[in-house]
Amino acid sequence: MRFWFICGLLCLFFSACEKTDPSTLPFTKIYDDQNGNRSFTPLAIAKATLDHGYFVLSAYDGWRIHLMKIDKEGNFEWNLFLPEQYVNASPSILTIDNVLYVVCMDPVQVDTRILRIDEVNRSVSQIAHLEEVTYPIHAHYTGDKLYLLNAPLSSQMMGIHEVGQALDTVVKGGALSISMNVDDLLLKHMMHTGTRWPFYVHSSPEKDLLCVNAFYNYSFSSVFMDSDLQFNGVINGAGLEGGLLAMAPLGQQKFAFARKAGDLVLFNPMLAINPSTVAMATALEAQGDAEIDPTKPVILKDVTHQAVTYKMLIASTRSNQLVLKLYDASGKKVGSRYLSKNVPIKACDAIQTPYGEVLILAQVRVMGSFNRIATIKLTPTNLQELLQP
Amino acid sequence: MRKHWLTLVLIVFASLYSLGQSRKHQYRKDRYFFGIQLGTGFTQPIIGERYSLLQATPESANKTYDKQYGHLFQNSGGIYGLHGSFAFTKLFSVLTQPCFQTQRYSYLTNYHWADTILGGELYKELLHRQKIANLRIPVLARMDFSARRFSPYVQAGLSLDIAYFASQIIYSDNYIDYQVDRKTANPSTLAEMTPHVNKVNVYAVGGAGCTYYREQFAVSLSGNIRYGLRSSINDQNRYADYTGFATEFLDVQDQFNLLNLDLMVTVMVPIHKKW
Repeated sequence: MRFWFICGLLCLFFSACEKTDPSTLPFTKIYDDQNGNRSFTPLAIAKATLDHGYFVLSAYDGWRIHLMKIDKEGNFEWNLFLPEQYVNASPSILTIDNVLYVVCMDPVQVDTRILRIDEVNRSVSQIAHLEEVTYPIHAHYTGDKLYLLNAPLSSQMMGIHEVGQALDTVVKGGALSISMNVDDLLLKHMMHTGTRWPFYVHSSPEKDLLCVNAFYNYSFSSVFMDSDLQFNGVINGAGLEGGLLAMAPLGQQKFAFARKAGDLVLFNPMLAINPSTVAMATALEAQGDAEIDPTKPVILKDVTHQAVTYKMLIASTRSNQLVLKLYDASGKKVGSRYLSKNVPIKACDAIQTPYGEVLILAQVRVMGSFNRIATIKLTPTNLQELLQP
Repeated sequence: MRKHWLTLVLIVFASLYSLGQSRKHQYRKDRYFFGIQLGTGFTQPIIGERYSLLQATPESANKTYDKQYGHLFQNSGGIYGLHGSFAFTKLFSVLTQPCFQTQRYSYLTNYHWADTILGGELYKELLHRQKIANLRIPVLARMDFSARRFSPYVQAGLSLDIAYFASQIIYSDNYIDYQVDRKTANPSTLAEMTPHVNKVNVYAVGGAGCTYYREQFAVSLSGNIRYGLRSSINDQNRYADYTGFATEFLDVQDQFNLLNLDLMVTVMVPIHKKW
């Protein structure tokens, strides 16, 4: 009798073990498209505002724009192939007053268009047309201001623009002189037919400084600009071959950054840099990481786990893996993990979800042949495992 | 191979039956039996939830990427171990048969992409073969129908299974014909997938068989059906890609419980309780 009682208890125990909420589990998803000639380049991922899902912005067939909605578990919900009148999306989905926006370009007028994502009707609608900002290449929302970086071809200049609250006018502008013709590089960047340059605009936590990665003064450089969009300082790259691959302002004139030196990626999770300086990127102290592929994006993001904020670096290795590294506030590496194997993979963006998870957006070459969008979710449990010594 | 097994089983049954008819009752009460067992097991995954790494979109060729599992008799594995039992009465005994068992299961997936501009097409069919090696510790209650030398019986109980090693290999070819010939297909490396499986499982076991008893030994043929009460794949590690096959072969395990049909031969010797 006792034997069968124990057996019954065991059965109940193991049955109870099965009930795990699937939305709390990690996942890897690759979004299929039968068209072998179609190539997707994921650009950005952002949390949906109306539900628990996410939006993924991608480029396809060059600079055409693809928008996809996935649910909390990474399952495909719906997608949009935007019409040809919208191309060259900035690699960011902007959340402004709980509404999602995409910045892109009209291929004929070559000026900037701002599109609002209608999550209910599964559509996008143009809400602004900024004629004075041609060839936009990056957009950044600081929480109260929208900045656009553009590169008007033939001008040998790059522009930085602050957009008004209504998103329909430019209220402030600044310019960076390149002093050389980089039109071919810019066009290839925009059309996804050549090297994708790590253009970005970041604001410091104090919001008194903008860090702009752009062509400047015969080089690919990181320019510091003040709140009036005036030149403040610069970290010059070594011509077009050097410069910063990623940067994250930590506040109080401290920065985490990854830079390139020849074929090597170097990283420093925390370095004090005077934003009024004029310096060379090669002079910035950093630790080389020989396994990271310098031709693929390096992503620097904050991630919070159990009330502690870490700096997260995600990059692609030369051996077709993603590597994720966490650094604590002192700049010490506290954990690392490799993701995926054997097929070309490129990290494109990452966010921390409201549930403490890390959601990585990547490009995977399926069967070694087709560039497809992929999402990889790491749960708080995964992060905890990663942080264990 | 299967024909040989059936022939062997029939011969042994027939000989035991003919011997059993001419013998007296066999004294079993208060006796221990110790022995060894050998056998084969067939495995069938009973799918609870399907998972796919590749997500279907309106632009996909397929709307689902469900795996096609091989049937029970395509998934055979070996069993070898020990036998120990104690007969409380002449008809009722309790036994354990700790053993090593290999469970195998396989499934097919296929994919197709077409280049609508240049005309190129890619077909991929993949045969995924998995092997799970277990240490099995069953505890069964057995009821014999006869006290004679030739005694059919039924048995039931629970088994604690500890998976100590699991591996996977994938064969691929370029034709979608719902079969992959392992002799000609391109194999992947053999990859360990132990972290992907739940290491501890409890199986409900039920079966039948017959034993032929002699004074110095006994031989038993039995068949058991075993069903895993716990799912076999670790949910937390499903996408962790320990094999490296996730993005390369678009492989992720479904959630399933394993059903086994085990056929075993046991040879044992009796030892009286009062040594």
